[in-house]
Order: sequence, then C-alpha cells, then structure tokens
Amino acid sequence: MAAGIVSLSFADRAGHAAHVLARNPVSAAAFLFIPALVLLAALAPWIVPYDPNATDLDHVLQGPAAPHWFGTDQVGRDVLSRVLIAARLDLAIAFSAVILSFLAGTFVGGAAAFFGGVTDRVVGRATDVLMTFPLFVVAMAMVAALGNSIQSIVVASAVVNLPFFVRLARSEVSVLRSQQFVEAARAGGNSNLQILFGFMIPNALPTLTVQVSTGLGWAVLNAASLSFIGLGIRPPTAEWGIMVAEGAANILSGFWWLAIFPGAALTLTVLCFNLLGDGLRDVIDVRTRR
Amino acid sequence: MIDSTSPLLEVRDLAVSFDVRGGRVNAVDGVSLSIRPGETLGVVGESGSGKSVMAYSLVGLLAGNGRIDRGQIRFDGRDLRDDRHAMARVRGRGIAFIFQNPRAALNPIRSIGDQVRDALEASGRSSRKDSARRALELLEQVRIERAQDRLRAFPHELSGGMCQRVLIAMALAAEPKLLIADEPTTGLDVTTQKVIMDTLYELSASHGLATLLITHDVGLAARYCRRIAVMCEGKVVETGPTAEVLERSRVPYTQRLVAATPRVGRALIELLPPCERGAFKAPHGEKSPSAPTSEGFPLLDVQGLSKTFRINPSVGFLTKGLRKLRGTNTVESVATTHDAVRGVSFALKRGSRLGIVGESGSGKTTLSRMLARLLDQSEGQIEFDGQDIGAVPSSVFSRSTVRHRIQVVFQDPLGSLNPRFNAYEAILNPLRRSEPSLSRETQRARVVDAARLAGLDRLLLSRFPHQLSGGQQARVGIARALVVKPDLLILDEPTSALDVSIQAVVLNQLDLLRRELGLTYILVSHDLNVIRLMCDSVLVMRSGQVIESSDVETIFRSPAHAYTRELIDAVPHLPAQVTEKAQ
Repeated sequence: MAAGIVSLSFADRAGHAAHVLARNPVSAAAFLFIPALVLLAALAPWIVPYDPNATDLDHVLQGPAAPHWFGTDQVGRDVLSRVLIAARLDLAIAFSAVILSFLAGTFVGGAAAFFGGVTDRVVGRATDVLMTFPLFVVAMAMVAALGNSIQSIVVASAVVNLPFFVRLARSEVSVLRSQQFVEAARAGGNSNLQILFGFMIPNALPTLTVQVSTGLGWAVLNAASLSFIGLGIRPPTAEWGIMVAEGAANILSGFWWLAIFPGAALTLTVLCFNLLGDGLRDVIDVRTRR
Repeated sequence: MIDSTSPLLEVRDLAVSFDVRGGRVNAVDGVSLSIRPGETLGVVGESGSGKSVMAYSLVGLLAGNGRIDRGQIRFDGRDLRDDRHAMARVRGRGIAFIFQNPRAALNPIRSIGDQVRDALEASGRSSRKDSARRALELLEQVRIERAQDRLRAFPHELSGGMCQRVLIAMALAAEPKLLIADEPTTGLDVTTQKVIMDTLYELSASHGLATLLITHDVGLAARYCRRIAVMCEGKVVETGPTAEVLERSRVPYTQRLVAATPRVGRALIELLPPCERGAFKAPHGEKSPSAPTSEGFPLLDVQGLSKTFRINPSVGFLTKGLRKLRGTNTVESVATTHDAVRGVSFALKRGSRLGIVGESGSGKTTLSRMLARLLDQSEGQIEFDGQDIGAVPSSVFSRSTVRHRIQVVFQDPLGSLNPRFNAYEAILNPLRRSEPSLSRETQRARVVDAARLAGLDRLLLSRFPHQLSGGQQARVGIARALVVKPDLLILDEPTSALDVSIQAVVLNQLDLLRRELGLTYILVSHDLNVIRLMCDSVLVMRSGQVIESSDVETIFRSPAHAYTRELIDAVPHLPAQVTEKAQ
C-alpha cells in the first residue's frame, strides 16, 4: 500500500515477528535481554546478595571471585548488588522521560500536521531551534538550572528526546491526513479531535514504538552521562554513570572491575534498546514481509 | 516477410511460484501459449489470475522471491529459460515491455528526449550522433504533438497518456519483435485509452510487431485482439479467436467473466450468473420500480456551485511579513487560481438516481465532495431538504443534524477503511457519532442490520480490512454509509477498484437497496456502462462545467454535445453479437 500503513491482527503480527526474529538472531537476543533486564531491575531489592550501600572495610577492592562475583569497591560495597540496583534507577528515569516525550511529542507533532498552518509553522520552527543546540549541552544546562534531582534529569531527558517524537509524529500524521479513511471519518460525523485521536494517532503508533525503543537507549545513556559528570544524581546512590566515574579513577591501579561491570551493563542496555528498535522496525515494516 | 507458420514466442507448461512465509505460492501453474509474428494476443483475467506474473517471468523480471519452476520459453527460435544471457540479450531488444503506471516507469529527473535516446543507444540501434534525430522520429511516430519542444520536457510536465506514449516510443526504440503491454491504459481516461490503443494497434500493424496485451477489460481485449487467452488462478482456461471465445465459450469462468462485463442491451441483473440472481430479483418482477416522486420540493437543490483553488507560490510567512513591512507585497498578484468546478446547478428529486460522468480533472470528485460537505464551495448554494447546508462550513458540519442524512461511499474500498478498526467498529463509528445515546444492544442490532443490507456476512464483522476481499471491503463501506439511515448517498466510483464479477454483485446490491429503502443516490463514475445501468439521469462534466445533462437514454441514444459522443465512442464495448449470444 502506498503509505505503508500497517494493519495486522495480533496473530498475524506474532507469526511475522517470529519469522523476522528467526532470520535475525541478534534482534532476537535483544528481544530476550530487555524483558530479562526489566525483570531483574524490578526484583532487584529482593534478589541482590548484599545491601548495595553497606560498606565492609574488611573486604575492600576484592577482585571478582566467589562471594562477590563482580568484586567489591574501595569501601567494600558489593559491585553486583550495586549494578543491579542501579538498573532500577536508570531504567525508571529512561522510561519516565521517554513516556513524557512520547506523549507530548505525539500530541504536539500530530496536532501540528493535522491542523497545519500557523500551528505547524510554530511547532516546526521551535523543533528546529531546539535541535540546533548540542542536545547534551541543553540537558546539562537544564539540570544545572533545575537543580540536582532525579526529576530534573527526567525532564531534561524528556526535552532532549522531544524533537524526535514531534518530527516523527508530524510526518506520520501528514501522510495519514491524505488517506481516504480520514475523509470517510469526516463523512461519518467525527470531529477534528476525534479524527486525530481515533484515526490518526493509533495508525502512527507502530512507527512511534520504534522511536520509543531507540529513545529509551538514548535516555539511559543521557542519565548515566549526566551523573558521570556529576550532575543530577549524587553518590552514594547506586547509578551506572556514577559507578563508572568512580571506577575510572581506579582502572590504572588495576582495579578494573569497578568501572567495567557498570560500564558493560550500560553498553549492553543501550545496545539492546537500539537492536530492539531495529527488530521492531523489521517486524512492523510491511515492506520486509514475504 | 512475416512467417505466419512458426510462432515467435512459445510458452509451454510454464509454472512460477513465490517464496512466502510458510511455504510457496503457485502464481502461474502450467501456462502454455504462443504468439505468431505480427499477431496481437490478449490475456484477460481478474486480479490474482497470474497474468502479470506470467508476463514478467517471460523476460526475467520476477521479484526476488519468485522463480520459474518448470516449463519452456522459446522466443524467435532460442530457449530463454535455460539461457540467462539470452534472456538479458532479448529483454529490451527482441522483447519490449510497457508498464501499467507510465509515470512511475519514467525517470523523473531526466528529460523524455534523453530517456528515449538512452533506450536507443542501449539497444545499439543508433549511435550517439543520430540518436537525437531518431528520438524525435519516434516521438512523432507515437503522435506526440510538438515533439521537438517536448524532447526537453520532464515526465511531471506531461499527462499520464503522454507519458505512456513516451514509454511506447522507448519500447519501439529497439525495434522489437514482441511488445508486452501490461495493463497499458489502466488509470487513463477512456478517450486517452482509445488514442493510446489505436496508436499501439497501428504501430504493430505497420511494424509487423507482435503484441501481448494483458488486461482485465474484456471489452478492450475484444476490440484490439484477434486471439485471446483467458487466465484464472494461474492457468489458461481457454485460448482461441476472440469472437469464438467470447461468443461460444463452454468454459464457465469465461462465460461468467463475459456476462459480468456491463454493456449495451443488458440489464443489471443479467451481469450475475443465473444461480446468483435470486437474492436480487425485484419482488414483483417489475423492471423499473417506483419512479421518482415528483411532488414537493427537491431533496437536493444546487445553484451555481463553484470551487476555485488558489495555487499559492510557496512563500513563507516570514517573507510575507517582511514584504508587508517593506510595502513590497506582491504575493497577491503572483497567486494563480484554478477553477475546479464552475457554476454547476441541478435539482434532485427524492428517489432519483443521478449519474455524474467525466474524465479525470473534470471536477466530478470535487463536486461530490462539496455536495457531501467535505469541502467548502467558493460560490453557490446547496439546499438539502429545504435547509441551506451550503452555508455551514465543512469544518463544523460534523455537528450538523444533516451530517448523517448525506453519506458517502468512497472510491478506494481498502483505503477508505481505518486499518485499526475491524468491520464492526468501522460500521459502528458513524452510528456512535450520530446517535451517541443508543444502548449497546441497539447499536449491535443496527450494525448487523446495516451489514445485512449491504450483503456482508455477519461472521465477517470481526475481521480487519486487510483480512477481507475487495468486494467485502466495498460492502463494509456501503454498510458504514447505510447504518445511519441516510436520505442521500453519494457513491464516488464505488466499483472502479473491483473486478467485474465483484462489481456485478456490488451494483446489484446497491440497486436492491434503492428499491428496498427508497434511497436517492448520486453515482460518480468514469464508466459510462455502469452509469447507464444504474442511473435515470446524467450530468456530463468537462473542465469543471456541466456540458450536458439529460435522462440516461437520451444521452446514450442522441448525445447533444460532441464531447459526450466522443466519450461514448471511446468506451470499448463487447461486439454486439456477443451481447445477444453470450449466456
């Protein structure tokens, strides 16, 4: 179909997803890893072997070995426990930020394309202006201005992600606007808002889902980067960015496990969110169907 | 020169299959046919019959997941199937191809002169030096007027019919022996279709060129082909001289296909095979029931309706503002206008059936959108049942009480359905908007009832649009329009995307509804044969104006306007004797 609108039933879609993933084991791995990670993060307080913030000065800087699989840090905290607990915080920040920018971006971008005219121009130029700044610098400035808190990291990540959702929603809705079923909806007595929310946005959702996945990766990285440079979350909170920052100082002294494990968790998470996005794109895009 | 004994192309037991999820699908299943030099063979069949796949496989243009499973393709004494190099040599030289969508087949960023020269040079038929001269000759041969100027034109500057002529010129560049034309005139207007097909016919006669014409239109094949092959589900069910196949076929599929093609002298019900007629029979066997009631004021009264589109040069609002500040605002003087509809007036009585006919760009769709209040008119009044609905802007018309009394059935059965609504939700949506206070049970009863009226099986209501066939999608569209019990139905090319056999059923269903519900409808169509079967009176439109309006028999018997006559002549009819004998 010209606009490539996706219209598949659940069973159809599941069958196709299995087909795509079978041909693409890397995506399949990401599809398995992300739910596992979310589950681990959710259950972290009950499954961690040690209290992540409990210091144990008898066992400082121990290498990865039996009781402490990921080793201990300079005050004897268990790195494995801290990595798991940190996943909670980083994922929570990422999910809240992306949900915010997804909701706001879809509405703003969808409305801009649907109503056109001045609305569209104002939204379009505002998005352009936002994108002319280096986005990480914008995020830094916002956290610095709003104060060091988890909320300000969430808001900053949401704002930085916003232009991508606005643009995507805008382009999706402008394609859908010329579809005949929109005209049919109008003839059926639907008002503008009913058409936007009942007909346009639901049809743009599959494409936006892909952006959500990629956006989650960015948001995790963003949160970790901000705390790495000392903005937002403060030690001793367990957070990947902080852990990497603290561990980085010790790498040259041979205590590599302090930075490597949280760093690897961060890398793997971002990579998997991106791969998940690619996989979802293949599942959703009818053009790859056979 | 032409050896009429040995075939130019011989296909034997050809089978093509496609690799899909969960197995292989046989698209072509044991097709055999042959074309002699200079002969025109028509391949007719409905969508999905495998006719295009068969043609593409002949020249090795199958999609990546398709393959030829078995069979022989011999062209000009050479085996093409086993010798890939032979196929590549023959493609574009011995065998030329013209495609369904001419504009898409041309490179949008090269001038047509250059593209014809490319074809000439690629085929090795002319050198760089004289290719310019040959390109001009070819464009003149395919009757492109002012060919010298047009050499520098780009595809988007030419009409669809012009683009198709350029493609024919490119196909002729290599002086092929066989031309494969895949639905060459689908999507073009009937008058353009006639000119293109006449050109093709004359060229093949004068060049001794054999033609394989692939079409869904039995009438077109009957007019231009001496022999036809009928395809169904990947098989050729019948081959033979055109008249014999159309008149004396013993194959049920061919009989059905021929019967379903609308033409002069056959009633609507006769489009259906006899076994399916029962459901649509008029209750008392009367032929034309309930003439429009003449008393009272008309249901719809249209006065001087016009639509002018402004074509604004793309000037941003900042530029506009700056110009305003500087006092150099010239925007108004630069903007041009286009009159899509000019001064249309007519009145429609309750229970009457009006046809609007015209070619693309004649303004018929713009007119129907204004009548349905989906588009604001520039000038003129629309009175519906005594209310001045033309005064209500289309953007707020959804709140009007009249909204649901005027309903539309759209052109594209699939495209007019929201992909995320199943059939039930699609039909329910307008009902919820018009009568929000209905109980769930009443809603359900109304939707099921509308589906029944439209001939849609209630078991299909839980399906999504892509899970329905084209005919079923069209019925969902009809049910959606009927569920709110409209007084006026506007049908915008309701069957143009459907195969003739499905069209026959849908048209009969619409006629049954009119008889049962006393509906008034306006049928917009480019197909005069359909208008003739379905309407009492006709408006003929051209360049936004109504050039002729009369009752349907007068229009067809003695058209007053030359253009109307031209339109009627251009429609490819089945030959008259077929009309009498086929059955």
